[in-house]
Amino acid sequence: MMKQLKFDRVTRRQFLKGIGGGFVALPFLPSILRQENAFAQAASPSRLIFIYVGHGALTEDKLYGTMESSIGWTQQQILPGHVIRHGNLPNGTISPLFNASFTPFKNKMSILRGLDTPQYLAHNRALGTSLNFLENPLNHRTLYVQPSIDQFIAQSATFYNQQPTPHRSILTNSGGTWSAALARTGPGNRDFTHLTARSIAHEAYDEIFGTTPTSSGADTTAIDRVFPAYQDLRNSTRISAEDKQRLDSHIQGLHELQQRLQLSVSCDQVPRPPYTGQSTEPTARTNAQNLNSVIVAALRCGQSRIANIFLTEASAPAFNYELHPTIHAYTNPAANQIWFNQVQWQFENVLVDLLSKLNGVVEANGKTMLDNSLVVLHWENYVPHDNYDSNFVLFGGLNGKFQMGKFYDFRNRAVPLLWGYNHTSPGYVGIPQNTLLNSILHAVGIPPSEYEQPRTGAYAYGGYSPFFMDTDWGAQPGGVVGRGTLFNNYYIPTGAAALNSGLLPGGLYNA
Amino acid sequence: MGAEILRGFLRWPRRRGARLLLFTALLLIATAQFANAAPTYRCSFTQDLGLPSIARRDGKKTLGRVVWTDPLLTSRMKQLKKQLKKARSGAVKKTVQKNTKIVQSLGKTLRGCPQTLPTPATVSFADVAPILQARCLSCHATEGNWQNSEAWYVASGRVVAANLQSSTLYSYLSNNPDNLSPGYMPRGLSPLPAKDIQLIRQWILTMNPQQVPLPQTQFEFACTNASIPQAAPLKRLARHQFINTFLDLLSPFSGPEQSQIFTIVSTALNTIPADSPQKSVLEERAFLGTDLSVTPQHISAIYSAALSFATQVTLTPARQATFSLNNCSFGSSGAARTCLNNFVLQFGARILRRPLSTQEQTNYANYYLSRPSTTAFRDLIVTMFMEPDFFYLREDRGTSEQVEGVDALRLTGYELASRLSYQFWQSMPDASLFAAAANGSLLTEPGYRAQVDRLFSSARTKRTVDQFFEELLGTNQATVFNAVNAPQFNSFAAGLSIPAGSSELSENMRQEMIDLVDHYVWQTGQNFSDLFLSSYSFARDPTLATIYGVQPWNGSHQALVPFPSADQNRGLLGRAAIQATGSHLKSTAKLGARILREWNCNTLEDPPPALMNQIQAPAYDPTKSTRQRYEDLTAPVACIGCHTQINPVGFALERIDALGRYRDVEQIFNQNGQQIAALPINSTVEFRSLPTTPRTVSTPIEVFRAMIDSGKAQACFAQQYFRFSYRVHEDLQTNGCILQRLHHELKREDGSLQGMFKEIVLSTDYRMRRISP
Repeated sequence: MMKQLKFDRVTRRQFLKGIGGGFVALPFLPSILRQENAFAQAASPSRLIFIYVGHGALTEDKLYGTMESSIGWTQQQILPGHVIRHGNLPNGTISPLFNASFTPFKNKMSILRGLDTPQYLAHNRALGTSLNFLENPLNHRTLYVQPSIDQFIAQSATFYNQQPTPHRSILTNSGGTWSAALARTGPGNRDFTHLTARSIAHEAYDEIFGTTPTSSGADTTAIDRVFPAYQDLRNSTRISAEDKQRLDSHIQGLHELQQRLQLSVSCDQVPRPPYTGQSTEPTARTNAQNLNSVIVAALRCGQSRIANIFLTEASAPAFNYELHPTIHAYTNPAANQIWFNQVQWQFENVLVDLLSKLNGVVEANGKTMLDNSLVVLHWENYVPHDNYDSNFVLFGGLNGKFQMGKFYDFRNRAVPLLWGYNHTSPGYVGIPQNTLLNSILHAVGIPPSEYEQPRTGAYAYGGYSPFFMDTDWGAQPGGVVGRGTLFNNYYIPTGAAALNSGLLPGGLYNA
Repeated sequence: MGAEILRGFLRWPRRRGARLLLFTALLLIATAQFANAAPTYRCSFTQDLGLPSIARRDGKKTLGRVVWTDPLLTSRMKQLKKQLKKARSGAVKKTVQKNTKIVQSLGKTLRGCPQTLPTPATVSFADVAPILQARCLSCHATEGNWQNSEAWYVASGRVVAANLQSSTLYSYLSNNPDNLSPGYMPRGLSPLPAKDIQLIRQWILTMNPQQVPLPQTQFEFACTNASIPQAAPLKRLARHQFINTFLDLLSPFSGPEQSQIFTIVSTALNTIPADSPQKSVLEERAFLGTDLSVTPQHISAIYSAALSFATQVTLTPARQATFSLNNCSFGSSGAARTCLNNFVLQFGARILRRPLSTQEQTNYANYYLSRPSTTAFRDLIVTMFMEPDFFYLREDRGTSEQVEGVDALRLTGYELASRLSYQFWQSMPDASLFAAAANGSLLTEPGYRAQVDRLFSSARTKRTVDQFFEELLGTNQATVFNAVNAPQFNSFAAGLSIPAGSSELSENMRQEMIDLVDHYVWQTGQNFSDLFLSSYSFARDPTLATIYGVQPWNGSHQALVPFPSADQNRGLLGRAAIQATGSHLKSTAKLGARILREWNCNTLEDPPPALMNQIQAPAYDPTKSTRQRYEDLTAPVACIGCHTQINPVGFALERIDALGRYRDVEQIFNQNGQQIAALPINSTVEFRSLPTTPRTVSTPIEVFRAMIDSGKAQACFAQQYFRFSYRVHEDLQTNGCILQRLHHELKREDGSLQGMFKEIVLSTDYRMRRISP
């Protein structure tokens, strides 16, 4: 027979004493934690690396391989009638595209599919304009455009003030100077520009490390004293309104420069990479990998917290076909193979190198820089520029904020898609792409007040309604008609509010 | 008769009460019948959608609507099917089934309606001209003085009489030739109302091809009154101009020392963002100088370069002495103060490209004195670089005037000096030009012309002209040959020495273009048509000469090498540098579009977004020539509108292969590089992208000749040079006169390219700037 235990009643005084002792002991608790846990409490800056691969046009067999059958899927209802599925990435090689070279990162990556954008031609530079339109605002003058997500975060006062850095962002493209970064240059609908990327490693180094003081803030009087001259010119009645806007941007740029110069950055010596050339396969690879080194060093040294990398076909060697037709001929196996080879070269030689370098830096919290960062890899649908089922792969997870090692399929496979850029392509209704963008903004602490769009009354980056249209489209009887496309089977608008305030559903994002 | 029968019928019951009862009963029956009668619908057209529709005559709603279109009915039918599945009670099912029948009946009625609008009477051009003027030409007024005429629309291929499918104009305004659904244009603006689309539709359909008068005259710009000065925006220096200016500011140093310093400063200068002008989706090139954007990267890069520059020029006392121009050492009192003042005065005037006011001199001197002595000189130089007068080409200090009723500024001597210098030298004015600005001679006609002649005769101007041609021709981008070491290319280029992955041949092709331009512009001073229709090879490289089938050129301008035959003449655009693609395949349509856009200034819009994804190279088919495959590919209605213009140029240029060789047959290879067919080239086409009557051509040189004969090639070249010079797009309303002068210089028998390059700066409006709000 079990002995009956008997306790004395705890008095109120005893209880208060105990609580008090607990509070006194709190500051010392870390010292008795295991070292690993103590590291975990050290602050780690949020770093974001956005990587864009142009065109899409990577077919499902190459992207996903046999994952359909090899993953143990878990079904989950996220909205009435909308069931998604997820599971752990499979054992062994993930897929032809994510081949054995990605195996070391399998627990540090998650693959997402089923994120849709409503724009007609999803030349959205992916991470970029979300529910906006094309990358070139001049082509669509009346449409509302947002900065690309990297530039939005780079310019966010909240994000910047968390930990100011000399450079708001770092932009690279080992094949040219085009970047996927779309930045505002003024308040107007057309006031955007694509920022220039650095294509050669030592030039990127010079830009980042060349003028930034490494120990103490620099004197900025040479800049301080020219502001009145810019203001005088800006107030002149002899220049146009457009000129004035340009000067406003200039003045803002001078302020930025001042801020940057006054910051002090502490870092050990970062070697300047040699110039290798880019015209042959080995030199192109070396240059691209050197660019990775510069990026990782810049992030490590606190020069910036954001990088935007364009992995372009031009940076892979031996690509001299008629580019556009070859890539777009995705139904032609031979042409698609050429394109696939180019992307695979990039992934194996450039992406894996970047991940390895990020993973090689152990930070104060005991985790690697990759673990503490979020690397967002994106390309468009395999039907080039189609506006549904964009492809995203997340790496690192931002110190546990995003779940890694998973495959998330957000498509509701019970609801075929009737719309889409290419009417004949198969597809299913997914969830809006900007749930991911919102989650990233949320994860780095940017409040919705910075990105809510008053004109849509919505609460997400770029507006939330997938059917946010402008005068170029317009609601018509029977649905929303955009260039002959009938959007009548997409029910997200009514269910949007249920999507956990616009964040990624299903547990991928640990809000 | 009818009334009598009715009266008799009503009188028939003998009693009044019975008659009343009968009348009421009949009335009720009639009302019930009327109420149960199927509502009648009339066929109509939903203009916004451009779809046939049916509208209920009595205005009452059926299933919630008065007007029905096919998408509405389809949508409602889906709803009903869902409702039917969910329906549990018999009553609900019955209602749903009843409604389903109504929808089916509506669909049947709708299918019986005409799917297009009824054909109205003949519409004349005068009816549609106001619509085109208001909704199209506000953006598209770039085609000359007779654009808004029926003849122009026909001659340019935008409208094909009685053929909607081939009329580009219509395919852009409406998505569908069978109805009036709004199309891609006007882009970014509200679509044309259906009634306007209908009017244009009928104008095209009822146009009699035999009665459309086509002009036989050459293209002309309209110069209706004196030129209004160009409204030049505030322009920053272009990237190459920044670099050139930094180099010129190092002029106090001798050659080797200047190079040494400049090499170090170049590290920072290289971080200036590449100029990236805005282009449409398929446009390949635009002049670098038209990128006027200012980003934080620009500001940061100029600061870095300024810091590097200032650090280097003040690095040692010797350098300070040289750079200060007066062998000065700097300090805070006595002679040193004089040195400082002189330096501020002299260097300030060079870097800001104007003399400094007394107040500015004092401010700079005070700034210098406020700085630690170890860095004061450096800091002074840096702050001067950060001024807006260095970064921008300021033109806001002149005297204001009214020209043709608009406000304009007459440029100051210094502003004019900078404008000229950056026009011809892409850099800051030299001492002579500054002196002419200072003594006022630059504002006199003889003094101005003397400076123009001096600048123009400099080797630096030649480099600028080379840059203009390189940007226009796209030869500043190297082509890599046989990048993938493909068997097809190896067979295609058999007999030629072209290492896989090499750009050496491309460099030689580029060199040929430089030599070609040099010959016609500088060595012989010939006219544009001589260059454009050149019949000589300038291939120094043996491989390139073999490609042309000629002996290598030895560089002598007296011993030119003609092409093998008149048919094989290449002119300017038939050269290998333009035609070669790097692979064995030709970019036929792309090439045609490029020549029309860049050398004939045709307004070819990018395809609508709906078509973008369908742009693919034509499928491989060993039985068909490239022409046949492109004809198949571009046959659909959605494509042919534009390709009616593009294809003829591309097909005529099929006479030249993807390496630049002239050919009569097209070799077809399989994947192993084995030749499996040799198909004859059919290059005969009707070239209709001209302002004159379409012309039948069958060789590249005939295409180019047609462009010259129509005056369009010269006009387009003038437009391109205007864009390069002013760094903005021309405005035909206000720039017609200057364009006309450039055009005439290019067309004159005794005119010359040099004359045109100079002509742009000789006009009086070049020396003014319009003030725009």
